[in-house]
Amino acid sequence: MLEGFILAFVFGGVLAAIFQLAAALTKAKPPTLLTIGFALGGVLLPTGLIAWAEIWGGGGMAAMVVDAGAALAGNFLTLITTGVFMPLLIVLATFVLLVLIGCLTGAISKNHAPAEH
Amino acid sequence: MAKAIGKAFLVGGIMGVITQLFLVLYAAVLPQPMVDMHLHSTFALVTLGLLTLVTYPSGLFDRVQAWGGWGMMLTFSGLAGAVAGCYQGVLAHTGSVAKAIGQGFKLVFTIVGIGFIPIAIVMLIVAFAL
Repeated sequence: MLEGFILAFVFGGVLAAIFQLAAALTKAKPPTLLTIGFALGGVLLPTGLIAWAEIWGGGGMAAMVVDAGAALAGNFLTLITTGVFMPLLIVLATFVLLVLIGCLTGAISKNHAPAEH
Repeated sequence: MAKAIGKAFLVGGIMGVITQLFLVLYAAVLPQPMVDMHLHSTFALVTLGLLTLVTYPSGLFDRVQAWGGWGMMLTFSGLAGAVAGCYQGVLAHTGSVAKAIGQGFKLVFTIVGIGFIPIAIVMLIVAFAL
């Protein structure tokens, strides 16, 4: 079990470091890099690289937006090849839930944003 | 730059370990014949998002993100925090809760929507190639 936690640390750390480096080199804004990361997860799915990272990286991979792109891609492929839409709906519902959690967090927190005068 | 990359590695790694802990807990509470393995990941991600409900109001989220950069930003918790910041920004400027929620949806679904275009193209090619 300890090995799983070590690998999760390494995979999570390496992914974060790659994006930190990409942000420093490209000066791209966070939403742009998040979109690229999300798309990359899905586009790389057929190569088997994402499945390999999911097996070995566990939580280190699952925590990242990159893996969410892979989940969307995998379930979209399931939809177009088998017609089963429930897994894709679960992924989209997770995003909706994430937005609602974010809004709730913003509502209960002291406002960090400056008010307009 | 090397220092920032090291910090991102550390924070990203810690977020990975926290998610792994959630995965192990959900696998123990909801064993596989009962619940599909992929749902463990979904539950772990939602729990990671819920963690923001504690870390954001306390100010811990901002401090970790300022220190760890992409180590936090790349995670689901980071995305929930970004929505929270967006919600607060729009609410402060417009005073409308509906507009603030709408902006939160716009932020996440712009990433998902634009990211989905290349994904859909590749998956359609894969589907027709099979």
